Amino acid sequence: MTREQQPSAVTDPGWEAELRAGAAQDLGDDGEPAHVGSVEPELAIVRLLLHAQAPAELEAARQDAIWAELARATAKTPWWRARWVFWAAPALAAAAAVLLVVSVRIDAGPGRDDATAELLEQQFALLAPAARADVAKRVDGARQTLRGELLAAARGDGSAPAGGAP
Amino acid sequence: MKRSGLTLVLGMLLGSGAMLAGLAQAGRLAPARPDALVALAQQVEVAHRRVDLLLEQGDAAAAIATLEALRQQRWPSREDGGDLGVELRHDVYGRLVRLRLDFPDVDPVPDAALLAMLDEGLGADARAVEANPFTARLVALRGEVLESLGRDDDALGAYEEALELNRTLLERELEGM
Repeated sequence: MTREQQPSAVTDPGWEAELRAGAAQDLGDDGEPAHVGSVEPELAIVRLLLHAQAPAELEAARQDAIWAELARATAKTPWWRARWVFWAAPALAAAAAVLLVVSVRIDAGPGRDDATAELLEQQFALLAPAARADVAKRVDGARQTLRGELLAAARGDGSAPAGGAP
Repeated sequence: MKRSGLTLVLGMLLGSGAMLAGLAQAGRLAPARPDALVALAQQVEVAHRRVDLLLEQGDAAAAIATLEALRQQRWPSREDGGDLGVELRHDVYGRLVRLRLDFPDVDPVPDAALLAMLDEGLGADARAVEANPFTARLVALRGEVLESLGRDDDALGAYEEALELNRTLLERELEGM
């Protein structure tokens, strides 16, 4: 595609690139940019045209920015972004934490003691059978001792002379 | 010379046997009146069986009355009944207070009266007897009653004492296994 078939608008940024490329082709055999300076006036005109076009674009961008700022300013702020939330939320969180700790302590007090009493009953249930067997064994021992004493007393009454002991 | 050596060995054997027997009975006061102890043990055993039966029938009031009647009897002193007499007393009082706590609506007794009952059961010689589960249970029940009375610090002390007794007993059980 050639420039005659589809001329570029002077405001097209590619136009400057094409102009500089064409100027580069016009370099002499010794590489000296003999004709480079000839495109500068044209570039100056192009920059002037771009500059003339820019205020309209800048105005539109400026308007967008203003409208966006107005929209932000006039939009209703969500409650969670309200100013009072920033100081009330920490206070509420602290109060909730205190309430939680206090309630847990109130619940844990009797609960812990109930658990201790239950644990002690379980330990008793565990230890009681062996203890009762031990009691029975010791009572048997006492019974044998008693039997021995009674036998000795019976023998003493039957065989030993009366008044043997002082 | 040979005879004296044999005598020495026999003496050592007898001495070690006596020492082992002494260690086995360490901390246990033998009853001065075995007849009182045997009679008490029989009474307690009969009362336990009667209470078991009454509880199976759902008659908690009669079970409590049985143990109350046993409680009213004259308990032998530690000297007369030995440590075993004290343990039997703790066993009876422990079961009685347990039932009263489990059935508070049967013949209701105020917590203060329960505490007095526990102190009566424990007696002055509770800490003198060797560690046993019946004394530990009675101390634990004292903790429960103290807690009901709002004396949390005293309750905690009682619980700790009972736990310490049970810890000693459990360690002894584990050593014996």
